[in-house]
Amino acid sequence: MPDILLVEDSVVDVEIMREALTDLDFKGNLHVVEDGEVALQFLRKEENFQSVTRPDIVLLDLNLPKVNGQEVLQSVKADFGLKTIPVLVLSTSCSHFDVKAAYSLGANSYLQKPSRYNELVLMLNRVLTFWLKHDLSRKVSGLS
Amino acid sequence: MKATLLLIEDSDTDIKLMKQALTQLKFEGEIRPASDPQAAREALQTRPYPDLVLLNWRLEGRELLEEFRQDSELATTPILVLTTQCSPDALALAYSLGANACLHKPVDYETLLLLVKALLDFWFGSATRLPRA
Repeated sequence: MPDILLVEDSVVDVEIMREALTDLDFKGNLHVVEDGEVALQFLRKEENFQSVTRPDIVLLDLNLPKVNGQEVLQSVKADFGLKTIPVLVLSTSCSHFDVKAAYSLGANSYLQKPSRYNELVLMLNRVLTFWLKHDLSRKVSGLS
Repeated sequence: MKATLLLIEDSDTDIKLMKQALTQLKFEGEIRPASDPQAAREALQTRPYPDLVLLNWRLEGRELLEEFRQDSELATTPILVLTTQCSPDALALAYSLGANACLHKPVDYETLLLLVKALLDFWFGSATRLPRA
């Protein structure tokens, strides 16, 4: 079963995401962490996360408490054991600066948070289809 | 503005099948094939700049990916690696060198259609891309 790590500090956005995944009949696990520091602990299996499964994709908000999304992205993509995990930046920002910065730091893709629920469902459906059914990164999940 | 897709592929048959799949799926942009590494380098620097690159790993994929990712102008151009080699080490290398995604090169047309549909839906329908200036 696929595992998604959602790094998101907005409780409302997390609930909407859960609902959308339920509507899409997503059978995997959605793990949620609320700030960048905890996201890195989760990915590095530190603190309370020693028994968690390595996520198949990370959905990363940019505006996060403690350690922001860009710093999380930079740390993941600089880490030999983590850099093959697809990180999809999920942001309300459509500024060229943010998009370019995310791709330059190694984001696998950049997604703008849709304002409408049906658009979110459509976007997530495309994310699940492309990244969980076609992308091959899950085949390297054993490397560390 | 119509999208431009650069297909780095030396097999005429595979180019033909990819074009057929893209046409069948109503892709209305330009499909720009490059059948060797030098042609790929030139095609990547030709306007309109490609919005997305499909790179056959067998065609000096490692060298080209490394070279393209050293060019900061290409940081926002998604490069998707197509490969028949699915060994974890080869894939890890491709991701480490900056491939946005790696995809198994399909062996039959129906599977190719599914792959191309997923690719078009995600990269041209949902992902935010940033055209090169």
